[in-house]
Amino acid sequence: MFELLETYWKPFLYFDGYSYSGVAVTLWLLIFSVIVGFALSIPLAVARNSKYKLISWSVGLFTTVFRGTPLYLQLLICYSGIYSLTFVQDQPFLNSFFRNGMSCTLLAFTLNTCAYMCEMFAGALKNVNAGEIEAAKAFGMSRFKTYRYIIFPAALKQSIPQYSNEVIILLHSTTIAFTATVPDILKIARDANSATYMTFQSFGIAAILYLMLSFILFYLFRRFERYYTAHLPRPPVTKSRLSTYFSFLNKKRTQ
Amino acid sequence: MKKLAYTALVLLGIGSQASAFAANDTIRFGVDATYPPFEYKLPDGSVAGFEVDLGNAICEKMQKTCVWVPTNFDGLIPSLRVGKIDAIFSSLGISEKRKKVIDFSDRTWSGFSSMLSLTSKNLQPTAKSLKGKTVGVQQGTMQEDFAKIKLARHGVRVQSYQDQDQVYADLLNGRIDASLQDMTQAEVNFIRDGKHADFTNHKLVDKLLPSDSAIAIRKGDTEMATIINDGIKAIHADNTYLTIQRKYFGKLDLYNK
Amino acid sequence: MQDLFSKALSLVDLGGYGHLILQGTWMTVKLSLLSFALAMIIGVGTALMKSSRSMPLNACATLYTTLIRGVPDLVLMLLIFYGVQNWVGQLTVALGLPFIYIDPFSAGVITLAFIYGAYFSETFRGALQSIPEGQKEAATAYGLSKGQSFRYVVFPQMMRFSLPGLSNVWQVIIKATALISIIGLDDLISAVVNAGKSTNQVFFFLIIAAGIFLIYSMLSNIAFALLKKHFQIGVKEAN
Repeated sequence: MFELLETYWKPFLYFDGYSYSGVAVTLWLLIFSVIVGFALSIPLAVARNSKYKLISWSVGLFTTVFRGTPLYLQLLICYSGIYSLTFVQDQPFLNSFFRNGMSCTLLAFTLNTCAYMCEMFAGALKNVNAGEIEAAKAFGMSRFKTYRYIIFPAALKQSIPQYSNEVIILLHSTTIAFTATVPDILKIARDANSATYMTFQSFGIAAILYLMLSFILFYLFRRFERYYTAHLPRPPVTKSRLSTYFSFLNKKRTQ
Repeated sequence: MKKLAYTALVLLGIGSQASAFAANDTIRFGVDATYPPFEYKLPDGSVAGFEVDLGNAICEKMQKTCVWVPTNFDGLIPSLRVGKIDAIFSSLGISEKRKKVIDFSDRTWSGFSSMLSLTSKNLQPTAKSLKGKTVGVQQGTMQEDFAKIKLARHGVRVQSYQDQDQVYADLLNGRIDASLQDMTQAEVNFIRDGKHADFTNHKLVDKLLPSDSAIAIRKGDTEMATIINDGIKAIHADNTYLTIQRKYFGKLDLYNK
Repeated sequence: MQDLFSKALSLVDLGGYGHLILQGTWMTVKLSLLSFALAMIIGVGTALMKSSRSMPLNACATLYTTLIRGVPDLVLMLLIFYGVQNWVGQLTVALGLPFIYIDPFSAGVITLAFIYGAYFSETFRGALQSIPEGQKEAATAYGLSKGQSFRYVVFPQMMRFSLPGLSNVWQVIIKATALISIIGLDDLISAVVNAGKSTNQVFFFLIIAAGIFLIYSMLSNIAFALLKKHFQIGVKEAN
């Protein structure tokens, strides 16, 4: 077990000899897809709630297709499917884009997470307090100003738990990236398994790494939510039976 | 309504592929059926091929039932060690690395390894010629070990794929410049049957790429070793081997290289 | 008439691979239904464990849901496919039983049920809490035992409250079954990939698979809407 760690700790973390690998690649996949997906989803969410049925339904079609099909299938289409079309291979830009496994993976992940975030955010936009929007109109705020100062902050605050869920789900979904020859954590685990035949240990290390990443992300999102809603009253904390037994371990908390 | 749901569940459970209990006179062969003509899947899902026919002939001679378990190539040896399968008959080369963890039967056939690439690219299977290029291999093969040790360290990009089909797919669409695999398989399946005459099959000889293949069995499983070796001797004795070989490879001789 | 029928059949045949794709679809459907059923059972059990008063049961259930939240589906699937087979093998050897094989289908069902059981436990726990306390008190007042009150009072109402959560998890399970093709099961995706490779029309067949998944998803939505109507019988819904 320890020889495995000794040989593979570097590839698991960031470098496997000639390219970035492991945790570094997984984090890159996650961060890129989340940021670009989020940026794209904001205008799409606004369009989803538009009063023009054509715009709203086109975005709805996009989200239905990308939420209704598995991410693995979308990755296969980006990696194997699109590249097999002759008109893609003839165009130099498209050819070089889809030839690279990493760009195919990033495209699939970004579109997928954008679709989920768009639906989430559109729902949150709808649920913004109508009274506040009317007040903004009464104050003479332009549509843009209303969005920027009233609607978006309220919608964002409401959807932070859902966003944190989506980011962790995306982290778990990056495990399929190895099928597009992207050297993420699971690919290194498979390489280690292939070389040493120590299946349980190789995949066990990968599982532990993902567990740690998930918890770090979960903790970061909790901190962010507290920061973002610092001006609001805290909801009463319900202690589970378990935590009352261990309450002596807790440091003093400012409530 | 509830009763209907329960009975439907039970029927589903029965109808689905339930786990089987081992019988003493079956040999479970693990095979990665993506390597025509040695082993491949027919449209109805069953496995067929040169090694499948040989395995079935061995079982017939030793009066055992053969069960073929399709598995991913890099999962074959772990499955064998864990007891999921009793033997591996899937173009497994007798490499030093494998001999450390499993035992091999007598030799079943021999063949070299090769590199496939477009003739127009003028590539040679050397690190110098492939520097800066991308080479594709199947994960778990000895060609992968060779590439990682002899090529990757000298500036060649090595990409591992889950099965040989994916290697060929990316070779054809240009994602990789060359691929390493068994020479006979490349010749028969890719160039001849696939009609890709614009590719060259360069022979590749190296210490890390032994030419002999055999059936793999668990370390210390002498009972299975005896059964299989006796079976191999039997199919050579009455020329069953030659008949099967002729069916797939015509005049090519894979045993007496 | 015969001509029309054979024309329709040739459309479904899809260059000879229609039969294989139908088989793959059926395998996916079987997998998702079985995992869903098993996951529901695990979910109910875990939800009960979490709301129980005994600490070890509570801790066990919390550990289980925490683990599922942290480890990805595919890694768990690979661990179970290779790892659990190892343990089962050692167990059967120790007990002197004949060897039990875990084929990809069973490994898939066990993994998916194990993962989504945790999701269900959250849904059911929320549903259990939404049942008015008065219902459970009335059941005790009538003299129903704990088991009886669960079966006749708590469980039906829990199902009604958890229906939206169930439908959500079902949609997720449909898509999670796609991962099974990575560990080697002949489901819809591997059938479609095979078909595409053999006929050199990869994109076309992948789009067909996407279409089948969308249809499956829409049919599930309709089914859940009907279920919701069934469970709403006798309940006034505030509009």
